[in-house]
Amino acid sequence: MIYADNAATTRISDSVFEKMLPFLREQYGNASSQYALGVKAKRAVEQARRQVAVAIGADATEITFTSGGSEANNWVIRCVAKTYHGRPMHIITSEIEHHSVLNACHALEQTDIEVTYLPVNATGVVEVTRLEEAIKPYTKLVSIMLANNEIGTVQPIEEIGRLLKSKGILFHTDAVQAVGHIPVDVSRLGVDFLTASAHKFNGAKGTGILYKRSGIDISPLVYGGEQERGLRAGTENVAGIVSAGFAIEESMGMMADESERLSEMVKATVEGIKEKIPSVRVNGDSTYRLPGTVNLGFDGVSGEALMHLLDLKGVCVSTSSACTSGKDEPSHVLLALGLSEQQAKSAIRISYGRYNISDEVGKVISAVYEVYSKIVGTS
Amino acid sequence: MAKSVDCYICGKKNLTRNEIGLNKKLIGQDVKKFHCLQCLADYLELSVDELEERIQEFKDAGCTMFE
Repeated sequence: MIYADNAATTRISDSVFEKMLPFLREQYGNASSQYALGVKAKRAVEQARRQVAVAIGADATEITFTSGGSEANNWVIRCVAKTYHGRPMHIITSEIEHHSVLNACHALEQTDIEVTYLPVNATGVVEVTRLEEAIKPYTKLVSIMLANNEIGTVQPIEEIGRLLKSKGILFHTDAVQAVGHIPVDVSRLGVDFLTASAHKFNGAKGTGILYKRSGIDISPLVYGGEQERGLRAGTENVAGIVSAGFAIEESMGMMADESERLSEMVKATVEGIKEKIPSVRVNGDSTYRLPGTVNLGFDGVSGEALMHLLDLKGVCVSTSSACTSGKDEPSHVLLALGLSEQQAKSAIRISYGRYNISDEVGKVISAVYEVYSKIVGTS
Repeated sequence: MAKSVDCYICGKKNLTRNEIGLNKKLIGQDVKKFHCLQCLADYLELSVDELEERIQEFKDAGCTMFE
């Protein structure tokens, strides 16, 4: 099997797995317990917090662990909004955000909070001038993702951060696809909140990260005990948190080489497929893109069919136009690029990661061409 | 009465809902020429067992296109 869907999730790193195992077996203490077993668990959590903080240029006190990126995104959006309850409140986000941001914003619109969904240009980039034009006197929060999960386009977060800082507007970036893959520094980006998820950078599933700039207060999303300095109740997922710490540390150490290697693999894949299928289209930005992710459009062919046939040939890729009832819905991200519904339904995403090897590129190209030909030959 | 959907290769009459659903999944929602399970397996160079397993997976995933 060739796994080329690393934007969906990644295989846990072997060494990270070894680091987390003791916390599922002999060191299974509750990090809130006062005896040695618990204290050791607490120490491991705090070490992971420092590892994450170092990786993104934050202070350890600014890091809170959650159950995942979706929880962290919901926390920021819902709880910042709660701070302004009863007062005019406007949020700006983009049309291509992850559903954990978009649906949290949709829910807030039911409570009289105003939300602007910024369009993007044809390559999926949020234009800063359009963002500036959308700002209102009561805009309190802007949430723009660092890198898109479907097309890999990287946004001008640093530029947006400078703009928002000058206007005193809180800034959140969903960096779930970016952390561990491209350099991320919260000070340089100028963000107040940043969210990430361990399983996207070869850590375990079930651990999210919220960076909250020191001095900013938001209420908890989950109430209960005093875990995570009273900000996020619930017994800590110690093993998962440990995985996050070591995985991010490991990813940072490999980032430069991996970035170059994955970019080369993507480039070779696109060139190889284009050679066999000249009509293929790259959706998203060719320059400002995650190194391992590419979204390809095959006009006139169903992306879902391509994905299923590739799966039957042992290649895992993804399509964003999932269907469960005979009516497939096109990707909101691809529609936002200005693609037609048919074009949006004709796309697949290939995302390489640490465990892909260059030999797999040729196999992916052959498999894509083979299944494409089968579909075209009979539809 | 619903129009019969037949296999365009072997002519098998009245393809099942599973066969029609699988054609839509693996060739595309707009597929015009349908294959029976055996002809689809031959065309895609897969086994009937693999396709039947896939039908079950679609059902398990909650897809309502299958019986």
